[in-house]
Amino acid sequence: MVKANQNKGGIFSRISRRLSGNRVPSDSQSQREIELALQHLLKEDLYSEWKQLVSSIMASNFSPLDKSALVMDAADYLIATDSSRRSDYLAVLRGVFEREKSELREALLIVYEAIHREEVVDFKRWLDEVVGKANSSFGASLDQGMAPLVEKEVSGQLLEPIRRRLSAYATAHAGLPIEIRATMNGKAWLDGERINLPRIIDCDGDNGDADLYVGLTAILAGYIEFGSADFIFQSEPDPGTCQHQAFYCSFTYPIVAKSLFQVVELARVVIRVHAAYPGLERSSRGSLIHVVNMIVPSPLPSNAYRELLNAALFGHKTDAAGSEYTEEWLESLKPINGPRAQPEATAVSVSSLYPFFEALWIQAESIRQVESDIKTSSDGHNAEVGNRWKSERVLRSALAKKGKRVPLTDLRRISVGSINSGADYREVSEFLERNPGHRGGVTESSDKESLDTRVHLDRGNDVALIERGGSIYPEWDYRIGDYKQLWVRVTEYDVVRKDAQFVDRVLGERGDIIGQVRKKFEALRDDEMSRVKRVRDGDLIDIDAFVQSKLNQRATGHVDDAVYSRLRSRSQNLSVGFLVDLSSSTNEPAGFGARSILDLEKEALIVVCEAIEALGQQSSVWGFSGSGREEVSFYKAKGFEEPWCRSAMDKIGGLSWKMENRDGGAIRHAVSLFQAHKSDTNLLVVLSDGRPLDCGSGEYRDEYGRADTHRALLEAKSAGVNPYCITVDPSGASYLPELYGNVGYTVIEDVRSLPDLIPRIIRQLTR
Amino acid sequence: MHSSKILEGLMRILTPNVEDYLVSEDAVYIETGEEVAQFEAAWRGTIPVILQGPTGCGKSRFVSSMAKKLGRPLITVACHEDLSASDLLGRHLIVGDETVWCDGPLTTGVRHGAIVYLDEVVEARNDTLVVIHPLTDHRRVLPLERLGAQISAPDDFMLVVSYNPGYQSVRKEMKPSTRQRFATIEFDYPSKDVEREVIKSESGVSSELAGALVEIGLRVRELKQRGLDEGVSTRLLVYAGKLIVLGVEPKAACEMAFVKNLTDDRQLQGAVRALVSDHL
Repeated sequence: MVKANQNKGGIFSRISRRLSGNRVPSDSQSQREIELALQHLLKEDLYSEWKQLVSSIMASNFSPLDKSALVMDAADYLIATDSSRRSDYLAVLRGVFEREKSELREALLIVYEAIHREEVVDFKRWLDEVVGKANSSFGASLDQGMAPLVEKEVSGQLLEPIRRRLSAYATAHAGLPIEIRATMNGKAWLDGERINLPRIIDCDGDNGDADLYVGLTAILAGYIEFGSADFIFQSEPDPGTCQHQAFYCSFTYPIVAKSLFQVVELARVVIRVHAAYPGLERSSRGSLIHVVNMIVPSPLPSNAYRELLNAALFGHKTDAAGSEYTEEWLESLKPINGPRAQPEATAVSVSSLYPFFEALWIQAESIRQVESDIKTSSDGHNAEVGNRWKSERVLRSALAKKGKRVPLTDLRRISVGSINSGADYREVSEFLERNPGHRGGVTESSDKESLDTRVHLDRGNDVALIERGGSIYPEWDYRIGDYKQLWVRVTEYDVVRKDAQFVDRVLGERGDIIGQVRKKFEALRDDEMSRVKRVRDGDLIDIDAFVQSKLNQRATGHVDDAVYSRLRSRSQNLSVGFLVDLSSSTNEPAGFGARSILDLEKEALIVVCEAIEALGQQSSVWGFSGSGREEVSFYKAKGFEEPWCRSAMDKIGGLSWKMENRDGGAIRHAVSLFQAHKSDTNLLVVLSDGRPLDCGSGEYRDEYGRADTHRALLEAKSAGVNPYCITVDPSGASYLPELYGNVGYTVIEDVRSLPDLIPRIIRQLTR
Repeated sequence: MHSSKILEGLMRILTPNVEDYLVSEDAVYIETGEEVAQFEAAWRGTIPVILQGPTGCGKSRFVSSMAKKLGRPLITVACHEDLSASDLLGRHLIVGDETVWCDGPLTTGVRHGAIVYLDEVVEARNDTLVVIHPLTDHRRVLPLERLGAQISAPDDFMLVVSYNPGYQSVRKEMKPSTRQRFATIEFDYPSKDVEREVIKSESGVSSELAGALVEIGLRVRELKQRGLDEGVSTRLLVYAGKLIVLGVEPKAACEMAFVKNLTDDRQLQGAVRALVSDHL
């Protein structure tokens, strides 16, 4: 579908060169290389436009790292773009940057793909429609802009309108949260707990294309559902080697074994999915070939592998000339046809098929360099997803143990063979580069004394903690079954930095939703009035009470004068406090897009505070982070007594990510603020993106961190503060029940839906 | 409908005919664990019970079957915010020229040693529920202040309440002083095999279709707290089966029975619809 310059290499080839050279060039060196390449390739006027764009990027308020990465990526795409389209490409990028700088990263790839779509013939009109839209994000504009063009030029189904549906569908199949991401290359694959699907499918007519997405999702989720990750080859594999790699390397030509395994495992999963879901099998019979084409890894060493796949799925050979098909294949494939065939059955079939395909390989006389890659690489395809997924978890665990400060040169030693595709390496290296990270000092008030004292803290000296002020709290140590007294210092800071630009964007993009939410919550407020019966003073006579009173008088002689009714607001005084985790991980991008998790949380907060204000109740917004038990930093963006106004919104916009998250101390401090405020009903909503974790002094993690957080939540409940957690951590369901109870939390699958879902949750909790 | 008594010669009492509350039909309940033995033990020990679990998982059916098994009348009260103490205890009425006292459902149950079932107890206000306190501790008495009387509950009497903690508002919780008067029996959706039998017997649908509905239910329940407040209940799956038996096309039956009412979110409805199509 994409017709592109054959020198497309770009990002992936560049990063591969970095890896293979075992040397990470400095950014300035890379930039010099890029400049030389562009000077050579571009005409003078176009080069001049490019320089203008670079100047704009370098003059922006992005971090130096982001600026450098943006320039390099933009250059890569520009080089890869068809020469006749480079001017258009640059024009769009400049338009995007002028309108909304933060969208540029997302635009690079999207526009590159769009510009090469054959059916987007009227590109100028598309540019006007897409870039001209003022109130939507570029990504959403792109899909909206693309949709009419796609409909007019060709039929097709975009992923974005049905992405959430597919995510829920995949979650239901796999039994754990699955994120759906769009890809640009027309292929589909599973990547840990993410399913990557083509951004648009145009194979089978409108309804058929939507069904294709369902079929793709079911099969890719099937890798999880039917145990591809649980493949066991060796009981004790070599360190740094996953089970799949160990299996491949047990053959003379691992590439043959790997290609066979991928093909046969795909067939096994398809067979299992169709057996478990007969309705899906019936509806997808006609389109299975399209589905498989999108999933099957490419390139395969020869056409024989496709024929093998056809044999496994359809039981017959193709009619292609020179077909290598043999009847023995069907015999070898029998193990995977069992109704409960496991990945070990795939291994059995592969072992049986291997001699034939090895002979083909030798015959072709193609010993590829990629053999060395096999020993340390995975191209991320689905059969290995589980081991790679586990490898990434090991990597993340290793990163956490090292306080997330891992030099890039150490990365490969730590990795267990999973970080090899350029995209993954890029993600992880960017993650690392973010983590040495900033204190974000501009957010705190200029409380010089606080800052000075913090610098001179004598760690571990409890007396010093008291002398230096702040609020001191105990911490629960499950190992001794008791509190460690005077253990944690929480320092309050007022958020002084405001981000009006952020709020303008939210109000612009979410204005409609804010209006709708406000209306819904105002309606709830009307419901809060009720007629109270049997009172001594009211505007109406309560007939029931009057009759009863007369009857009682006849029966007992006693006169009851509570025979009236009146309207009363039955809403209790409700206070909602939002406690936002500002740890460094909240700066990670939320799915495929430029916005971070924290940005989306802040958007959601602006929407929901509007809602609570409409309810006539009070809200507070606090953030927390810090490092170590002496430095739990508590940021007050809005207090209960403060009115909900533009200034409060700007301060919420000004919250920025920091370092660690020592949840227990922050929760205890939040409870103290509730107690000072005194309300009938108190709701503490913790917005989190992961587990309690503080790698500073007095390490706070794993069971210790969870136990103290749980204890703090119990204390909150006893103090009349009802805690609830909203998390975007897909693994939240594995530890949040322990902390918040079975019904005290919500896991939000798609971070981008936070601003829509949080008001709904709050409404449910406060009805 | 009502029989009358004279309470200590003071006033005529109208109390419903308790035979009307005997469970007559075959209340089929398929046991999933130890709940029958546990309930029986609580009844013999005069211990009030909370039945706790998601909506539509069989709590009310269980109580019916236990009432029938124990040969006791079952009086059910659907709790709501406007439920007053008088609604539970009773009130004075005019009958002809007489002022009579008419027993409420709780008083009737106590008088006759019935099982009184307060369904969705947290919907009732706390100041209404406080009337059950003397019944649910060692005293086991029901004060009737309007009559200046007090009724002792016989050993046959049992108070049962149902409670679904799944999506409670912070404003509606059982007070600890109320909750700690009860023993709790936890309910959940039945196992695959049991649920298939329940759907088959309740709806009359074939075993194959019942199995398909069970599989759909299992998948949809994975979305609880991942988009859906609650998974699809056994009750709704039974509805779907009944509609199928009555001639509705299976996918349309599922659409009517649960796709549209589990959520208003169109995307999630689409996902549930796709899960239905996986099996039908």
